[in-house]
Amino acid sequence: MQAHGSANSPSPRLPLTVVGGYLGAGKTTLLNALLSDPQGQRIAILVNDFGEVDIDGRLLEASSEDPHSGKPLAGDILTLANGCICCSMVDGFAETLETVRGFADRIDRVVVEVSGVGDPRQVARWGQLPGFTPDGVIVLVDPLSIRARASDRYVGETVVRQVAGADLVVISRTDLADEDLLVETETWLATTTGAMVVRSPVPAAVLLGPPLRIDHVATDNDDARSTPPDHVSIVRHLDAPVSRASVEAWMATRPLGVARAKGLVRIDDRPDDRSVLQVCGSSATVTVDGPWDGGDAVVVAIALPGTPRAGLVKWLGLLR
Amino acid sequence: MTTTIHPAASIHTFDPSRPTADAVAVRNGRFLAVGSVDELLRIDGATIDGSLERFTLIPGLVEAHCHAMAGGMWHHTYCGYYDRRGPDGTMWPGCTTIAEVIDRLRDAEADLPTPADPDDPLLAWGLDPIYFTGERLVAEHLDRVSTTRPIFVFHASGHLATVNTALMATEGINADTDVDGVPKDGHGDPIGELQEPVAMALAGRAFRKIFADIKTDESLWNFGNEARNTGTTTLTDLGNQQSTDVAEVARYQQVFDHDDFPARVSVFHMPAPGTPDTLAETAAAVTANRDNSSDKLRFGHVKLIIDGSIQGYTARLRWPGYVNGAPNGLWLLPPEQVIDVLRPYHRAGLLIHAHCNGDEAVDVFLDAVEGLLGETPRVDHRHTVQHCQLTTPDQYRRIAALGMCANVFSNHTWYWGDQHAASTVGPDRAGRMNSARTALDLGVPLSMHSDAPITPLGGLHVAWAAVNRLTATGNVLGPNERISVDEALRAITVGAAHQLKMDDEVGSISPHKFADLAILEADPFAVDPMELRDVPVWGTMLGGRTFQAG
Ligand SMILES: Nc1nc2c(ncn2[C@@H]2O[C@H](COP(=O)(O)OP(=O)(O)OP(=O)(O)O)[C@@H](O)[C@H]2O)c(=O)[nH]1
Ligand SMILES: [Mg+2]
Ligand SMILES: [Zn+2]
Repeated sequence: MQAHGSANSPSPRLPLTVVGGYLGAGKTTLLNALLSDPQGQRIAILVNDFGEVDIDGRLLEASSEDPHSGKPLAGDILTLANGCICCSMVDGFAETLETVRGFADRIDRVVVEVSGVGDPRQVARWGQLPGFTPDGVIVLVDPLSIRARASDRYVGETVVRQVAGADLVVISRTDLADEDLLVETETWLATTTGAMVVRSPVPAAVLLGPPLRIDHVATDNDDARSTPPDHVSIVRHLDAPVSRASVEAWMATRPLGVARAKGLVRIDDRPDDRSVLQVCGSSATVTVDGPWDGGDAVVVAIALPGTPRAGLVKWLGLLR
Repeated sequence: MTTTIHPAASIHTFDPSRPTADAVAVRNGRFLAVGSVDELLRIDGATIDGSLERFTLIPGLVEAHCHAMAGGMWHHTYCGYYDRRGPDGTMWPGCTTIAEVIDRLRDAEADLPTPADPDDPLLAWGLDPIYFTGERLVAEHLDRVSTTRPIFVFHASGHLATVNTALMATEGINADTDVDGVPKDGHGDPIGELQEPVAMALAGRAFRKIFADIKTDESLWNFGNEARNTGTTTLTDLGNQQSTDVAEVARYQQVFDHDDFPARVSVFHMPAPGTPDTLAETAAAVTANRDNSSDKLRFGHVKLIIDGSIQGYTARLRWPGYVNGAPNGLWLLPPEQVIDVLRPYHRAGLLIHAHCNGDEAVDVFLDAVEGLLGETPRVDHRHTVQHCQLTTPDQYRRIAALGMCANVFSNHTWYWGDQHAASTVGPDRAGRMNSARTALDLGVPLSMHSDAPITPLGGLHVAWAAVNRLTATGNVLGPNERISVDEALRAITVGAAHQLKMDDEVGSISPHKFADLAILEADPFAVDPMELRDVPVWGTMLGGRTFQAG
């Protein structure tokens, strides 16, 4: 069902989310979790280590003409059971993104797994190309090994750079680490990165945020449909353009606990354009993705369990 | 069965049993004997061919680190700072000012069909603005060449491009473009510079065309023609990810096995990382690909890349790192996985060459090889450290002890030596870079390379750089690391052949080996060492057939 009066034409820009973290940190595990609960979104997964696409075999489309039996070779594009696609890039990022752009009518977003020694912040820059919009750098951290890695002679700087460049850090292997280690890890992370830090498992709606196509989310002024249990979510419709100053104030004063927010709004100094507001962990951006095509403007936010709703309401109220 | 005797003005064989000779005798594309003309005339049916009488002959040069794509840029207009000879022999004078760049592009533009087709951009390459005092090439300059045809000028660094207003209009690069690396002027309009790959990709068609043209057959022929022009008879394609694909093998066979292609090419496979299973499959595929080899085309070795480049601040350096405070570089393979990645290739008996620019990358490669030799001892494996730019004496001792080889990037002293002294590693370590003297003194089998297209193909220039260690501004950088002309020429012939496991076939003028020669118009041992790179090359002999330089 479509939201009445909302700006619901497909976004001309695909959100591109980057998932990084050192070898074995749990990147592919997180992607597999996303693919098995994709929030109604059709996701293109790109694997940026010129290597094997290690997607859970059960998620691969069982297809007689697919000879790869779950072990695709570099450069292949695979169809996944839920309509998503998966592709490993051998000809370089520019060409792969060109290919993905060709699928734009069949997918809602792109998620890139960066190699264990890659710099996810650098990879995220590709999201600035026409047809895409950067939508978050998520870095996985294994609490059992991160401290040793961060002081390793060879990879220390690489690991610290990955973590420092994150918008959202996800601590993996919380089932194997005790509370002391998790707290110690969080303390270290607080001095290493400005990113928001969360413990796994993290619901898909937090990792990906609400879909850009607003018809997928709530139609009333209350909770978004896809909100994971315990998390707090809130939607606000706006009927008039908001001021640039209020957008800047809104971005600068996020309440603690806001993991994700997304909005399609008109801003007074560009009233004919559709401006996209995005929050992923510690980062907030505003971009223009095309002409305004009528309907209500809307903003959706998702916050961690325990975040006071009143603060969120007040925060969204800043946009005016 | 014909036997041809080629007398020459002088011959240096680099074969210790007979270092010099008056003539060579060639039969069936191989050297039959060297000696005096009288000696050789005793061979039954031998006839004299006097056409090389006025030349100096040395073994055909062997380039153990270059790339087949080196010929690809010549589809486009050269506008670099240094004079450069194209594969057809045309000499392109360096563009040392922006005005000269504009003139060069105007000439190229005049040759293109009119009216300008927006899908057919004017592409140029090699721009090296570091010596343009204070001036920066921007769209406004290129608009003086054309306001209708898109223009894309690729800088030598590979990190930057400058485009004109017509290109920005066609590709929608404008005030609204919100991409890092697109600098704007006071009015908020882009100035035409595109920095780093993401911004360069905005140039769409032009950006893609540069890379598409690299993959044409013409580009492969250019590669061979540049070899011929520089006295090179054995080339490498050091790292091709597709080299085990049937189509790629066929494409290479069609050009490199062609009778008229003037060089031999050793193609190294560049594997994609994977699981132990997939790596073992790759090792098997590389081994099987040896069956597609011929006298002129070789498959069957492996190339890996461990770090980035020093001038790009992406090489991995030991302490004290980069002197300008830049963070340490990038790993292209996770250090802890290098041994696992190499294992299947080492076990399969394959030759491994690994790109290690920084000294820390060398440590990682040596640790991996030492570990593998402990698990699976091999003799005479010749695993080679490629580039080896900051390799230290302790590392050279390990390289020798492990039975490995070093291929150093001597041209760097000339092309980037001043920048290394000023900003990457500082004057002390810059003088230790590409330390060929130390490598030889510590018993390391040595070769030296151009890494074409990174620097121009040409062994005599590489040797000249190692002999003189001159920088572009005329400083001698690290005089204690200079080597002799003899040592340098050995490194780019028999030394390189050894690292390619081809020294039984090429690299010296010896009975049995292919009759491959560099045919020179002066004796490199007779000229001032400072003029070594200027020794004119008449052409080459490949398998007994002469090829005159373009
Ligand atoms: N117990 C536990 N195991 C995990 C968790 N996350 C990942 N793993 C395991 O850790 C191993 C590595 O996880 P991957 O998801 O493949 O890690 P990756 O970051 O994609 O690894 P690379 O791509 O090789 O760098 C796998 O065996 C996973 O099953 C977790 O939260 N708990
Ligand atoms: Mg993975
Ligand atoms: Zn190279």
